[in-house]
Amino acid sequence: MMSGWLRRVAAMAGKELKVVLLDRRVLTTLVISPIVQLILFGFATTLEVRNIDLGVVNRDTGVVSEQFLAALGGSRNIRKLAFYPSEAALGRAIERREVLGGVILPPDLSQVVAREETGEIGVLLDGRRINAAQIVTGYIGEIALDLGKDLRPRKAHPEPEVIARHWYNPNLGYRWFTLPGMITLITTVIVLSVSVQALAREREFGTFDELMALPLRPWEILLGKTVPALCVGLFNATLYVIVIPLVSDVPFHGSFALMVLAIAAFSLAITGIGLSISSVAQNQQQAFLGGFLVIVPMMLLSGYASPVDGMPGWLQAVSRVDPLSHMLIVSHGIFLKDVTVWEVLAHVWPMAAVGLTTLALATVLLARRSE
Amino acid sequence: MSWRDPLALRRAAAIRAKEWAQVWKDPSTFGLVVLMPLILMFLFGSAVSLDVHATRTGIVDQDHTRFSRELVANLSRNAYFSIVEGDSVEHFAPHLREGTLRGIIVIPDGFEGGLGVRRPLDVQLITDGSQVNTATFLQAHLRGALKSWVEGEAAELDVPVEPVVVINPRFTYNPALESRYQLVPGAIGIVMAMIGSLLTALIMAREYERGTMEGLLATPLSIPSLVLNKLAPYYLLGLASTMICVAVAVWGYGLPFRGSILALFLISSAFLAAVLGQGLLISAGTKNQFVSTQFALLSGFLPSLLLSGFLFEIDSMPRWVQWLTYIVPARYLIPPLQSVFLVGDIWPLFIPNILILFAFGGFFYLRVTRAIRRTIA
Repeated sequence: MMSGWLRRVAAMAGKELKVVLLDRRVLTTLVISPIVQLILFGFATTLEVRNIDLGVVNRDTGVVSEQFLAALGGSRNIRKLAFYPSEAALGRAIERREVLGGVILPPDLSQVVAREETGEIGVLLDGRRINAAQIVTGYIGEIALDLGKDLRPRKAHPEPEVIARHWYNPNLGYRWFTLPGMITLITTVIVLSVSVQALAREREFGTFDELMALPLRPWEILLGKTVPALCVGLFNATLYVIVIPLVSDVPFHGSFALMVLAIAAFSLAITGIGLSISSVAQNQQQAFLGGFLVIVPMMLLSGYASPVDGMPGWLQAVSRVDPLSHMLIVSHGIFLKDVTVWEVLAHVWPMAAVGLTTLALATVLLARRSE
Repeated sequence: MSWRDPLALRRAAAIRAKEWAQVWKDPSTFGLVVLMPLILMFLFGSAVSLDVHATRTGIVDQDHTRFSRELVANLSRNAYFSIVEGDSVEHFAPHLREGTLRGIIVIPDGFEGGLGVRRPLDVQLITDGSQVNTATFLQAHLRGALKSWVEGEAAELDVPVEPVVVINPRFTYNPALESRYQLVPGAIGIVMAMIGSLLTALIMAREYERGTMEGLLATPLSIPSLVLNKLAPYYLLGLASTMICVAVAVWGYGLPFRGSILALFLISSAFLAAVLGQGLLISAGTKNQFVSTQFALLSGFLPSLLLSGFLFEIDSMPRWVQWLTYIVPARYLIPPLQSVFLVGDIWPLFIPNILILFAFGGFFYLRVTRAIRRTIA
């Protein structure tokens, strides 16, 4: 006993699903491409700095430089030390990106330390890669500190130190951040790509008029059009949720059902955005490029590439209506933190709200077009 | 096509004119070429920042002594922290889970008593490990802040603080440590990659999808010159976008431009040759706009963002990913592009990268002409 509108929407959805599922290449692209992305980019994107090549200009022949270089060469973050005769030569090597930076040990370093004074080691770094340069400065600083304790143990500072414990990710594994985060990015790309072409494709192929001539109201057409994108999003994201704990050491602490609920709300939001763009686009090119103009800023504001807290205040406000930022929080929360139902729902409703608003917008735009 | 043959030249001009007409007819192309650079430059210049900001941190003072109060006050004044005081770790724990706090500092009972006299009690820090970067920075900054506070109070505390060895870091080309200097040139690379691979991936696939490819191939123009003339307008659009980006970078965000325009022109031309060829090859291979865009995203946009070395250090990636970066054209763009802004013309760095990019372009171009020839046969 299906009511009339439900039957019409179901028929529309069935036709839409066939369009997507019957094209082998499209189907392969929809499944293969996201898996490749997850593995490739999930493992590639790390802000850790390892395997660094550093230059050395050593003018000191004493024990301090010897011990310092031994510690530096032994650091697990440093791959290779290259020796240069002068600071100018080191500068040229940095300029040509042969090394990320270098240490300069002054001629009197060991003598100064022997006199119980403070020795100073120069460090020159490549400002083009400022993020890595700052992290490496931190490593070198720690090595210098440890060296000091070795050289003058009786003066080892009875200073209070910081003992850190990292909740939810005890070893601060970077993949624990990237892999749950990549779900959000990849689902966005795939769902938007499918939804954004839904109406634009009909227009490009001239079947749009037939669509409008069907005994369906604009909202019924749109509801039918949301189904393939929603299915693709749910399928892909759920697949990642299952695959990630299998291929990596990232745990899954939270509730699977809550995760699927969040994914559904998130996919709805992205589908709504895609359909809004699609309802004004004249052809597929406009739809894809328009979709791109929207999702790239949404990705960059989501907090994946850099923390939202570091953005100017008004952009933080924009980020709060960005479905990606909510999904990112939920994904990290469910994978790593076992957040409560209410904490998840607090992020699900904004995504659902964006979805419903944009679907309403798409309906209005479509209705206006078809008049 | 002979350059002396006036008819061939006219045919070539006609193809270019047709392609130009298509570009101007469609507002989305304009949007990609003009709006996208502006949006991306703004986001990478103002929103995406790896610079340090105040991290929301809870503090629990279990000691309640003069020194512990002073430490709390000192940390509250520190620009790296945005401090909230609370009674217990349990009180803050839900905030850490929700992400409204990124860390909790605990000053233990007996902190003052241990200073200088006996073995000191350490300050505890609990971080939100799900935000790996913030957790790392928080730990480093708390260490630094605690150390300088102890040094400041040293006279009173009777703690020997004179360090044995210190380091004196200098950052060449970027003394103010602006992450913008690293990110903005990378954004230019993304803009070019998008225009190159995404736009061109769409154009040829569209000809196939609409069935107009046969008509195009029926022109008496040879296939290589057909491909070149079809690409020419998009090359110019790519250069135009690059110019918009450079203008915003220099005048909007105050980036230095220490190299020459000639070097910038050569670097961008080489990169555009590679990505335009890549986009065309994708579209000639897939012949479907949807599949084309997915491939263009997968092989063009995302690698330019994630594997080119401008956000994430290539040397730090797993070995097999490092090998893969060698086939990402953007890998060869970022070092010369960053240098032409911040350092100057370093030809020993530029020339190998430019040659590799042109080789990519040549390879893609040969494959495209072959792929098209196969279609006819």
